[in-house]
Amino acid sequence: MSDALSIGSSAILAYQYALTTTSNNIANAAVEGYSRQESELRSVMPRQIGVDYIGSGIYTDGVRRQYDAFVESNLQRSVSELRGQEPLVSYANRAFDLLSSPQVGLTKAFDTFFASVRALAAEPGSLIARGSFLREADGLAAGFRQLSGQWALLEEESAIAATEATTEINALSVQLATINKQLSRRTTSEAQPPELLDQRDNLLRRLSGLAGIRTALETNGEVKVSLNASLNAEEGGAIIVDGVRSTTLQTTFDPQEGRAIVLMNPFSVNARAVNGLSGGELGGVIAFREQVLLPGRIRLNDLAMAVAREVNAIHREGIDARGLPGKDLFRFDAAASAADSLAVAITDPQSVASAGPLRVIPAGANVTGTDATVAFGASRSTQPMPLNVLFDPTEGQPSRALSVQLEAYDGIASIPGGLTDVAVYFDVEAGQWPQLLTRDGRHLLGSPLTEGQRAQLMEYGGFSPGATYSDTYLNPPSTAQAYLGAGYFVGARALPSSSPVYDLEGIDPHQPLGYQAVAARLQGQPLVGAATVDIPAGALVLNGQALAAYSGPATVEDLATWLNGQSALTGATASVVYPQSPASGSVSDAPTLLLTAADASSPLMLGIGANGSPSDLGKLGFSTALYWQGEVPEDLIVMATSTADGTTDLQVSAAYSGQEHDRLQALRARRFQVDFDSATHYRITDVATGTVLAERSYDPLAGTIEYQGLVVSLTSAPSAGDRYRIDGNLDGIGDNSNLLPLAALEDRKLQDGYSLGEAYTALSGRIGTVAWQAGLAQEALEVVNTQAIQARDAVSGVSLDAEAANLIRFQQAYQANAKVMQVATDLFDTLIRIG
Amino acid sequence: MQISTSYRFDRAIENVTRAQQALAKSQTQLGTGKQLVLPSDEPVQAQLIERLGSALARQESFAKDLQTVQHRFEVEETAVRASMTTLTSFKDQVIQGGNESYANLDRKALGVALRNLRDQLVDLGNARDRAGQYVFGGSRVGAAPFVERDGAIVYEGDQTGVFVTTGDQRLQQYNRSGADVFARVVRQTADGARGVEFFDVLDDAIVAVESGDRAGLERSLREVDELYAHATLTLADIGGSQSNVEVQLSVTDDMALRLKAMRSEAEDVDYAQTVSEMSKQMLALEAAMSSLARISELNLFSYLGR
Repeated sequence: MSDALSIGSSAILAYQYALTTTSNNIANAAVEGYSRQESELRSVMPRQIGVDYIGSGIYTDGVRRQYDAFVESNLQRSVSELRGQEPLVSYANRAFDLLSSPQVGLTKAFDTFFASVRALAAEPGSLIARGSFLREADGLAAGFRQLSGQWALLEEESAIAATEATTEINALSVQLATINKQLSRRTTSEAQPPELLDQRDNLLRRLSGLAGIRTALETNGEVKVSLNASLNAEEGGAIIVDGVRSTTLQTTFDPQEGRAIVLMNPFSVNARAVNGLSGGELGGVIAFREQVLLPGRIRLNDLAMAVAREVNAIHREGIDARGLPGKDLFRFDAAASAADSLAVAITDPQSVASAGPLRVIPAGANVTGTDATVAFGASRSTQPMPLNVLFDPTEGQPSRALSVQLEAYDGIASIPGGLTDVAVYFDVEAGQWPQLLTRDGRHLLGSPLTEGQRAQLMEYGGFSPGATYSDTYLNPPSTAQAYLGAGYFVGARALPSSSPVYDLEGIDPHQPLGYQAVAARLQGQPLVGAATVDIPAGALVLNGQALAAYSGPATVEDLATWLNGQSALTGATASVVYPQSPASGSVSDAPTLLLTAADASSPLMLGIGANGSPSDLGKLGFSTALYWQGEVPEDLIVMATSTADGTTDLQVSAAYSGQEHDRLQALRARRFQVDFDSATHYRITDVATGTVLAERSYDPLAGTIEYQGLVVSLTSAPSAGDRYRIDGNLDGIGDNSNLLPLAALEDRKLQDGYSLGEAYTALSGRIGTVAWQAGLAQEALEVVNTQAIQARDAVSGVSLDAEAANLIRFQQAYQANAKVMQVATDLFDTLIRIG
Repeated sequence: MQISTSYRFDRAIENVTRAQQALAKSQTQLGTGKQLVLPSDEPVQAQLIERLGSALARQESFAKDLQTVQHRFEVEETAVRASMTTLTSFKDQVIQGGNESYANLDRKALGVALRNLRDQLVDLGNARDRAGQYVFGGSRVGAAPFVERDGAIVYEGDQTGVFVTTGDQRLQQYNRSGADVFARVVRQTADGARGVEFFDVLDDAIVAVESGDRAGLERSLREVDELYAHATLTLADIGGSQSNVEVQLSVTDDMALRLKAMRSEAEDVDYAQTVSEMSKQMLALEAAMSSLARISELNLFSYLGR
């Protein structure tokens, strides 16, 4: 009886606990993260009576928290993955919506820009169409700036989101460390208060929503958290919670590329970047920046630069309404981002370069109605080597001498058009002559050539195809008879100069008071060679005056006397000087000839007469040079001929200033005229000077005329008397030939195989694809997440129905055991009454 | 497997939210008439719509440019027609000049009348379009192409052909230079063939009339006829260009129409389909909401009280 009583009372106690646990479950049913608890009921070990065992009641073996570590970590992982897609989806969608929006997107801006190009092409002279073209160009540039601004906003917003997520992670890891401290007081997790463990799991779940985590649990429930796959700090594990310690994180952004870098211990010397972070809000934002934002920004900038580069290249080819060459239409700040700073560099509608740079006009009185077109771009001869390459000005002028092994003839150097005040010095041997020709065979300086020499010379590869020889402009006595009215000369020359005059006792002795003319001085070299000299009459010409014959000893003194005998006619006096070395200051003992102009303002020109040669000049100690005064109008060829047997040695050096000019613009500044003297022969004349530039045969099958890079194409055969004028299209504002390539740019494939508009569509398409894929992944991950929640709830969730059933079950068990106690008491009473 | 109470409620509420979202989307589609509320709803389709819109804008700009060209041709046509009329009067007057009975004074009077006609032709040669540009100056549209220099009318324009894009891969020349419209004649002289410009022919005719030079008159009549014949050819040429433009314009219109249809198909909402979709979604929402209400009633505790 006492057994039944004690069994009953043990059961009453146990079911009281069970009812309390159930009530607690019902009470906490709605609490987030609460894990269902169950009282563990156990039978008390039975007593042995004889050979039998008699049960002796029930006891509560503690209250168990319903928990499955595997299910819980599955849930954490699914939360990380799902939350990691969310920023990717929402930001990438926003980025795609921006790019595809009719207001901010660039597709429409490209469309209207190119439509305005075509509309201007239909009315190239119209100021209204020009203005609207500039407006649309500005619209395109503004579109880039606006989109770039929106991009910057996305960048800023995602940066803030990343920073906020980092701050939250920091707060959670501190709380986890605090919980770890509380957990450390007990040795097993069974001994821990279940609510404390719930709190830990709640924090871990929130943390996994912010970043993908990997956790390890100690036997007492303490947790170690890493932000990447490794839980070992030595192996690169990003441990943010370990026992009672938590680590601070900071997200920073690479100032150049905007890449996000998550730093651990940012303010200590042990600061290091977290590698392999993925998932969660922070991972999602970082993924968005890396997959969408940064590549998008780079592509947008590339596109802005491509627009500026391609449009400017075409625009610079054209001519504006004032006849000036086109400038850049777009500009951007090279230091900043191109998309951010793209702008239109032109405000004046007249500066829109719609016209082509050249024009050909058939004369009104042409017999045939043959039309012509002109273009620029024929290839240019590369023979011989350009002067400014052979004699690089950075090496000083005149620079090192060039040594040439000369046979009958050779090209020495080409003088590119645009160089100014060119002098090419020759150190000649007997029989050698320097020659200067145009690429079209106009002989400008040198010796008259025999028929044989001419034919031989014209075989040289540096001449234009079909060039013919002419000596009309050879060694002209005056500029009026010269090629293009230019000043060029062969021989030895000196120009008058001026020197500053200082007032040494004045206020500022360094300030020149004025300039004083200094007469031209021409100094020779010491004489070498034979003891006597013979110079025929007229072999040398000094200042236009043929010199008398000289025959006598080869001394400077005798030669000076001979020259001074003619100074009344030549206007030059000769003297003997011993040159002083500028370096050492020592005076040479070899005398040289010095010619000085009597008139301080005129030059000294010692030329070569019809029966003379450069070696006659050498007899006086002077070397021969080719001089060009002012700007060289076009490519010229410097050659040398030799009548000596075999190979002779020639030394060449040069001096010049200026730079090569823009060939097209130099051609545009001139006007040319092509005259057909028969259906198969024409003459090209410079209109301003009347100089005949070229005379050639016309090939009706080829139908083109090439001159200095100009290519004139005739539509049909010309006839004798036909004339075509070519000019720089200075007033052809109705011409739209430069707009056609600009309109064609809309469809032109650039280096990467895309046209400008297609490159933009590809950019937005790529981002659309990322957004779309992230959206699909998000849908799949939602299902995974739902399953993980369901799995966790199956283990740890509270079902009110189940609890209600338990409530009744335990209540009934309680009541039944109360009855057991009552029965035991009654039995006891019965026994007492017997006594 | 145990289904926890909060899980049951969460799922039911989720279902309601999803049904509401679908309904809201259909409603916006019907309200805006567009299939896509945002481009990101359907990126591939959004790009298709964008591309079609681009192509359409292009055809529309071609059409606009064609109209500009058409206007230009009208100006040319008007000027050439008028010059033909004037040339006819000119010729009539030259024929009168052949009248043997005319005295010197009469010839002078005829000369004055001819000069007036010549000046009219100069004005026609200097015709302008709506932008104020000279039509017959070639590309030199900013200055009058026909001007008097030393008593003779000379052509100072150029002969640059100007082309416009009037369709994909299609260029149309839209200008005729004054030298081509007011063309030269080839005159055989003792020194061989020589080109004589339009207004020089007229001036020579006037001189012949004033001086009563019969041989000159005969030659002039021949040459003026030649000028007239050339003008007729030019007019036919302009007509040809005009009909080219008409054809191109109708091609462009067809193209635009087709593109519009394609865009509408990709972009516009199918009302019938969307409305039926929407009633389905309303049904789904109702079902989700009523099931939520019923589920919340299903509770063991509610039976315990009885």
